Amino acid sequence: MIVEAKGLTKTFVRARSEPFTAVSGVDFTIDAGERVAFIGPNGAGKSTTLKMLTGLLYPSAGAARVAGFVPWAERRRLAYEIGIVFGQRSQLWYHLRVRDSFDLLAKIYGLGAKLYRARAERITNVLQIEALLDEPVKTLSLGQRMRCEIAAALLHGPKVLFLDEPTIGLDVTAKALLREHLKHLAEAEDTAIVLTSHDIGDIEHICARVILVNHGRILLDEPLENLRASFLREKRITIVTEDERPEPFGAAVVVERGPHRLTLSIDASTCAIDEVVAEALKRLRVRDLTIENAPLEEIIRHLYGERP
Amino acid sequence: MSARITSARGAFAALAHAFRLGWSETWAQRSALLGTFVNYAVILSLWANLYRQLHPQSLARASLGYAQVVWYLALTELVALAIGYAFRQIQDEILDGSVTALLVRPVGYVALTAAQEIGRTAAKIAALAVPGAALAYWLTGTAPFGAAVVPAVAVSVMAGAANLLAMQVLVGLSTAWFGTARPVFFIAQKLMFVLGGLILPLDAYPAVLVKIAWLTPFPAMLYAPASVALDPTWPHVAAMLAVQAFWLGLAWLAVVAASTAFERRYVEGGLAA
Amino acid sequence: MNRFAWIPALGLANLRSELLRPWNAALLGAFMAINNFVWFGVWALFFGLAGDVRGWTLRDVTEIYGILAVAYGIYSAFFGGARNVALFIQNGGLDVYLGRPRSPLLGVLFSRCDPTGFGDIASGAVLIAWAAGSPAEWLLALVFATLGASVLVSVYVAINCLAFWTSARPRLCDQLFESFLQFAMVPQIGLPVFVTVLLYTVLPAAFIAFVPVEILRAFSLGKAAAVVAAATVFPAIAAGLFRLGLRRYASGNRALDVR
Repeated sequence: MIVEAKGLTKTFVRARSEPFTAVSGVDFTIDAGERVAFIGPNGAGKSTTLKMLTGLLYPSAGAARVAGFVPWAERRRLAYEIGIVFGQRSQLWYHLRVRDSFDLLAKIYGLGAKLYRARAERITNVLQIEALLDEPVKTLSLGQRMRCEIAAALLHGPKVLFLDEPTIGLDVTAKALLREHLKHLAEAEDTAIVLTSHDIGDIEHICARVILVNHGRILLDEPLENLRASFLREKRITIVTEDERPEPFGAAVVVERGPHRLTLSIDASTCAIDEVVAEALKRLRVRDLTIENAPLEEIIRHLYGERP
Repeated sequence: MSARITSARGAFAALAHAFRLGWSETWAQRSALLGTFVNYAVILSLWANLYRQLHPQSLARASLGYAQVVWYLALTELVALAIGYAFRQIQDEILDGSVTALLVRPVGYVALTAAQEIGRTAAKIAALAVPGAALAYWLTGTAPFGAAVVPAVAVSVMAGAANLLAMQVLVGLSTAWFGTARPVFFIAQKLMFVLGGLILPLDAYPAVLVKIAWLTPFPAMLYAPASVALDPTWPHVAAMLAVQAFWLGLAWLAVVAASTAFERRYVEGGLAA
Repeated sequence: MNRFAWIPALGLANLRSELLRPWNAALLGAFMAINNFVWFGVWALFFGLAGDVRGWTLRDVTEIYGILAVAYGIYSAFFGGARNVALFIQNGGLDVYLGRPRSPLLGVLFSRCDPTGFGDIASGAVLIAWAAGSPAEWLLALVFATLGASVLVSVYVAINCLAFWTSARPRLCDQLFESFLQFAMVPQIGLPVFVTVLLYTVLPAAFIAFVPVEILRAFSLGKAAAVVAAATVFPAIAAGLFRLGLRRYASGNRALDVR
């Protein structure tokens, strides 16, 4: 076990308002090399849990061990064993070249020159960022920067990589690239990954296990395959039409119907998406068409039979 | 070029709203107001302490007394601290590119920013004036002017602040040419301190420096409002208000010219930043 | 690897980052120097009228100002991140530094380099040279300025640490620090007793430039020892406050970083 949490609880005390419990009695374990996604809506407790596991927050109750250390009590020693990537905060030096940031991090983590060079070469190869090493960080696109951030977090060979919304703000292509690289890197380095994300695509492509968190509690802790089978088969098709009141068709469930707009929900395991699209193109004067996964909030509501 | 609002009434309403916004946001930031007063009180008290220890003949040579010079400083500091670092908002908006969205509004970017800043300044003056006067009275045990002069002092203080604000707007806009406004600000501020008579009235300066000072707008910013309080005779008050009005007109003409040049430079893509 | 190698590496990276635009850095430095010389003009005018203040002349006050300028320049050129402490406490920016296996305080201190600091150092050195009676006095003044920088940075960090326990905004911390600098800039003579006590204890402005100039006027081993002690004690106090504050930061009892 590389990560172990037992009864982790966090209650925030606020002046002039009621105490707020962000995380309550969270229990789970993660093995070395495992790739786990923490998902849940805003305010579910994902970031709070991550911060407790990385030593950035003290819990109100409960225990945890990461790579053998108690995170909040042995933060500095733990730092050598973990890497953290914040989607919205950079660890690189903005005006300097990427290479300079890496050199500096090598010194911060006390990496010997030979080891640093070997690791840097390997990681930059996998992440395909050799061409970016001599560019100032400020000139990189968001997708390029995130790959460099991940490289920076892995230079010292951590046993666990914590990623807090790593694909936020990235376009579709950049997301796909980053997910591929992360998966390969985790396999190559045998690093456990703990990932928080709103994006089902991140989970589907990177992780093998999902922990679903809501209102500070774990609602679900299952292999991805089970989640996929149960919940990720729903697709939403949104059609924008010339017709003012587009008529629904076939067996698809209508989610929303408005002026020039129709949103349908289909079960992708029983209903071929291409057939639905073909039917839409035949019956309606289509201006635009989007296919996406069902929103995470709806999956969660569905999970517990709550009404939308 | 940015769009222009079609009616003067509409533009005035927008500017008045920006003024009210600046006024109310300043009052809402009580901790910043407190910090400004602490700064004000420390500066005034420390310098009053220094002046108290001068040989009496030193100040008398310049026809000044301890109380006069402390009240003088109370007023110059009021103007200087009420404006603070107004240039920073313009500099930051140019550097981070957010000015792009602000330029496409139907009311000019500089006009709106200046109106908001005037609101902030008015709020700070209103917040500092009474406790500042109380502190000056406590330090000196007297007030060198009566209640009848207060309106003239208030008008002159606002005119001084408006002059100083124009300078800060020009400094902020210089970012478009130099990539940063700070160097220009440093020089302008210190010149204002010296030639505007921040610590000492111009009456105590060597004659040649006084002549040089009056060729610049700086006395209109600091010396004028403070001297109106010390010499509230109507010829002097009228002279100071006239000087302030002159420089106010010139300064804001310069702001209009700079603002037009700035928009042209920005829209044509020649920005140094 | 040398376990302290990261400190100069971090400091140098910070410097390099700013010096990548050398003309911008030079312009800022030069204008700050001019700024300080113009302020010297204010003192010159004051003493032109005053003659002296209880035996303190323009030379003495210029030496105070020069030492303060050098101390301030050392802070802003090398430890400029001190002003970011409150900001990072409030926006969660400390997380990045806490995630590293090194002192988060040093990481924050080295996070910003302001090239105006070099202008302060250069102009401060020139002002001291004008005021000093000998090269030895000039050198000693620079040593005092370095010690003063230690006190100055410590006070700035301590003020910013207020943000751990209160809702003090970065702007308020800057204003309080500016007030502190006023105490350090003006000769501390004839002040009420309680203020003088403050300036030698809780607000150690006296140790930055005033006491050093007193020592340069008339050497006192006791005062010299006091300055050295201040330069070691106040950083320890600031670091202790920061460590205490980190416990509260890590308790999370402040505004959550909610997305």
